[in-house]
Amino acid sequence: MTLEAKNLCFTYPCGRSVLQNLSLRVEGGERVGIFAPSGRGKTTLCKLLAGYEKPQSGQVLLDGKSLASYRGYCPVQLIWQHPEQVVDPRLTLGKTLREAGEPEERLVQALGIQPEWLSRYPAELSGGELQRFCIARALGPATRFVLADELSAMLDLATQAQLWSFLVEETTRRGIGLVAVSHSAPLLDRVCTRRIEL
Amino acid sequence: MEENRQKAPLLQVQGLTVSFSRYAKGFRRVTLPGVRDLSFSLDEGELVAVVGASGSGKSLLAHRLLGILPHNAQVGGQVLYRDQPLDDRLAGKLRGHEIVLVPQNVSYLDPLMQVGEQVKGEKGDAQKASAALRRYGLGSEVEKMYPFQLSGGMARRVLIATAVQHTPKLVVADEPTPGLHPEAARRVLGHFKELAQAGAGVLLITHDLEAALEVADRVIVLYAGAAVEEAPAASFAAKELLQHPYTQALWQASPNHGFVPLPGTQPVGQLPAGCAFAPRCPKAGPECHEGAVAYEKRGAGYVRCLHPEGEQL
Repeated sequence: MTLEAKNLCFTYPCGRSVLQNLSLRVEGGERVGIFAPSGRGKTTLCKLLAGYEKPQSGQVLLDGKSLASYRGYCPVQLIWQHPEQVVDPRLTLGKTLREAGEPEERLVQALGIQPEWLSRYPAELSGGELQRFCIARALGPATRFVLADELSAMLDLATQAQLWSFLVEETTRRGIGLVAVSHSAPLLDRVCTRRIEL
Repeated sequence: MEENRQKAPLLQVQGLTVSFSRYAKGFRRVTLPGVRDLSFSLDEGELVAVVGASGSGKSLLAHRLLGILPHNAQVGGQVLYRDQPLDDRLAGKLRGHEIVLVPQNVSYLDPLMQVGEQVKGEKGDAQKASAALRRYGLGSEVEKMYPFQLSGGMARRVLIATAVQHTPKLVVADEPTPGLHPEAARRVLGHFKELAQAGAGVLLITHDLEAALEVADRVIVLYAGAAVEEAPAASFAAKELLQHPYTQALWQASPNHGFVPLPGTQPVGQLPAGCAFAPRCPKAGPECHEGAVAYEKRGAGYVRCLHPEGEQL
């Protein structure tokens, strides 16, 4: 499959323009690193590619068809930088994990999610533990592309290397395309097959 | 000179323990350990980093030093500030001017108050406040801004300016760099180094070992609430200079040094018997799963391990 951004333009309501005529093409199985200073629109680009925001002009296409025309589970899944902000504080993590369908046991095991965490609430786990749930939730069977927006900026080095090596292995075996956004050039060089700068 | 040499360290933390009790199901109470047996000292002019994964108890240390732990926290061990016990009463008296906290992010600012007013504080001096902001490259236009108008890097500088306008003796910085571009992060860390060079003791609490190494004199590594190693920053030049297997695993996991993943997870809540790192440790033997392991001086630092690097020596 191919995820394609064509001439994306995005301006915030306050009039600040962050993306101008941005085009990008990612194939399944490819890992593209996006590197840029703060405020260049990295997160905005992720939100556009995953369909959370609409561009003022330009298109996001999945296999040549507009992403908005896909119904049901979105094949492009975004993993956010702050996991504690994207899990329901009033759901136990067992329920959060099943929000997008029953996860494969293999994924849960490979991510090191412990059975006793499933009955806890988000406030009782650390960021690194919550991020494991967010990754498992984003890797449903229909996922074709994964966008990782500063997935590990809040994590220690050991957890960072562990989660990335899992994601690289999993996306490779399933032919999933990966877009990784980070401030860290050495990290992107480790993870990605190519790197672009905004 | 003589007197200077014998002066007690600015801060001494001895066997600090912080734990919480909470209700599990019904009335069954469980105790959750936060910080276990943490000891270190900090001198004036020194910058010491406390590094650990999230959930390792780093912020609890910061909150203990400022005397702002929640009421259900149970605290053990001793903290001495200039040889006086730093209890909640003394911390309350000194915080805000002599002992300051630079918090993590803008959510610690009042969203409805202009920056200039906030930096000044209730009893502050407007001129002093604008001088502090100017020192960090923030002009008078910033004083009129509200927190939501600040970029991540500016917000961090506002928080530093607020904390340091009264020339503090002890600066506690809690995760000052995440989300910043490397350039901006380096600048923020540079400001902390300047404070240390001007004579303050700076405690930098962070998950980012690599950022810490750019400025720290010594590094204390926490795992599951306990210090596993204290080492001079220079020891991080090579894996063999580090003593604890967890510190070595962190070093190896860096994208600059092999990106080797460490399997498993830091224990949450109930800790295993013996060394907390043993279930993930490549060197662990049966003895590591029994009884607590002491934190001992070894080589240039301290380590809590039965099989530290180069143990045959």
